[in-house]
Amino acid sequence: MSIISVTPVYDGAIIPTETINDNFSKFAEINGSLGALNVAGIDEELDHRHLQLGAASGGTMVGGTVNLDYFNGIRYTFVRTVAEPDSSSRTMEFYDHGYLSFFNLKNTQVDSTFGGIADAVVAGEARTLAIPGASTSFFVPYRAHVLVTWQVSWTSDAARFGPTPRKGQSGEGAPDRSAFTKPNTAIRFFFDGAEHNQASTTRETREAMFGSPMVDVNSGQIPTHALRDRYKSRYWQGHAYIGEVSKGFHTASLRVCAMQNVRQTRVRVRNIKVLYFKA
Amino acid sequence: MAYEFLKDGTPFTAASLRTRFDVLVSDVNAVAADAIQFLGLSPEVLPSFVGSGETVTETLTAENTSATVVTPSTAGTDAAGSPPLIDGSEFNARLQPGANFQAFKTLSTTGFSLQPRSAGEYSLDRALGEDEPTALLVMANVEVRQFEDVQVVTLGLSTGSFQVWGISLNEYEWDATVILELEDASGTKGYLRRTERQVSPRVTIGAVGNNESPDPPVEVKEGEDVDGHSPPGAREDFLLGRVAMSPLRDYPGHTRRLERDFYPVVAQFDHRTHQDVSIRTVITKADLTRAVDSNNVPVTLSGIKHIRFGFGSLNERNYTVQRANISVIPLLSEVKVYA
Repeated sequence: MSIISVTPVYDGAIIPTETINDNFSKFAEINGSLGALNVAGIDEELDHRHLQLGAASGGTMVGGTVNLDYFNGIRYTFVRTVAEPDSSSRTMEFYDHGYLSFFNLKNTQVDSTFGGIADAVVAGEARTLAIPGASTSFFVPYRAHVLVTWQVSWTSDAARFGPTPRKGQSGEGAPDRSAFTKPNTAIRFFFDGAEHNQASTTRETREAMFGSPMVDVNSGQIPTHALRDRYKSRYWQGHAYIGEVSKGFHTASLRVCAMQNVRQTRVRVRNIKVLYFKA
Repeated sequence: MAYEFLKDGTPFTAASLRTRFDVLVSDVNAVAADAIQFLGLSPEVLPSFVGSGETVTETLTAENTSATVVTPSTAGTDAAGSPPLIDGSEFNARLQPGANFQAFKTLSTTGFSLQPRSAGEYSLDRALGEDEPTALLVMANVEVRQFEDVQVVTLGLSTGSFQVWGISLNEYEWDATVILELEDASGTKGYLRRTERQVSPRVTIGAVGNNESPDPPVEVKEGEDVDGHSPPGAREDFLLGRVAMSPLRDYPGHTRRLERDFYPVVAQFDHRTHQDVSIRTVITKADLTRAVDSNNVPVTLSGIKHIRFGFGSLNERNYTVQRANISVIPLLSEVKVYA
């Protein structure tokens, strides 16, 4: 009750000292209990100059400028085969070459960053990797509505390999699209260590990098695989309204995941921002 | 806050004490502006500037569910969602008089539409009360999954037994156009033109076949002969002409043996776009008279009850969308726009 009403005193009347004490005590409202009614007449005169910095809202941001590469299965290479009937098919085979072969290292950590993942969108949370520059911990000084926004772009060398799956037992029917592999990479949003909404605050890409000339008319042969495209990276300026969160430390992060056949995913982070409004 | 100090020799009566109380009570109950110290208001004495929370329940965000999403692990199974189809052939995204098409398609699907207040609408009118928000901070994201009706195009039937294949996706002939639709409590709808966004398929321009003709490609019927094509007679209908977009996948779409492995299918190419569209804006009372209807006629909204995505295509293309969320932060503070 921020509006004060004291007991009036009159000359000639006898009142107990308790009444006088109570009247003084009521002014304790000024010790942090004043409310909207006390400033109702001047509320439109109050503006940002009267507010302590961060008293009603606040925020934080982190960002990055470097390319972040996530490798997987780098000991696998593309191999062109000349197997009939699909003479231009390419496969992915394991090759022991490079300096690691000198040490007889068959399984490095980066070889299995995303090993066994069939779908980057729904892979278990533990298989996702927090992205530096797109992950932050922050302190909320009061119960607040929290809004998170971010800007990130990414691409990958996701590609489908091998002969075109075809219908029919002899494999000479029409292409069987249901049997096509579907390599993908995904960026997923987490708050306080838990995925926010996998169905909504997630974005994925499929094949996004490879472009291959179709025919080499001079040699009469299918040309080698060409990595040439830079236009198909995806940009996500996303957001999530978290709701009201309690005072204290919280975390927000974008995390990357890829299907096991994707050998390299390149992430370019711009930033992740947290905005909070006093609840 | 003025207080009259006691002075020696001056009678201290009940009336003078009452007067002192009255002055203090008046000053506390109605604080003067100059009594507020600059930077004097801390979080402890400030109310929330978000929403009203007084008389109605507010839902400040809407996010789609798995019902609209298809992922590689669910594609082709009963668990797969159903991404909404935007039939751009009916919704041409043109806000103009006498349009034969509707401008934008809206969806009531969760995540694609938001009704922030359980009752009434946001009038955004400060005069109506201190509980009434005067601005809405709006954020909206939607993922365009893929363009539909993409066709395989063939080129180079005269280049021997090798074929050049591509798809008909083309940066400047395909688009998805997204806008925010506002609706008031009476059902009046309007579009804010500044919220319109567009994306193209964003697939690579073909390094081979992009300068060939005919453009646009022409249809060759099954059995027809094409100059330079050997053996004669197309095995099935196909498009012949400019290959605007190269395939971006590794499955072969062509072969040396034309007579056995004929045309590839669209699914062999990277035809999915998976692009995000983001809209950010602040809506104030002035915007209630800035909206226009499908005929580009200004409409006046009494307030805002619903906020929805409006989907269309200037090139009248069809496409699907699958992931979406809309969030609104109703702000009690006045938003001033300085010139």
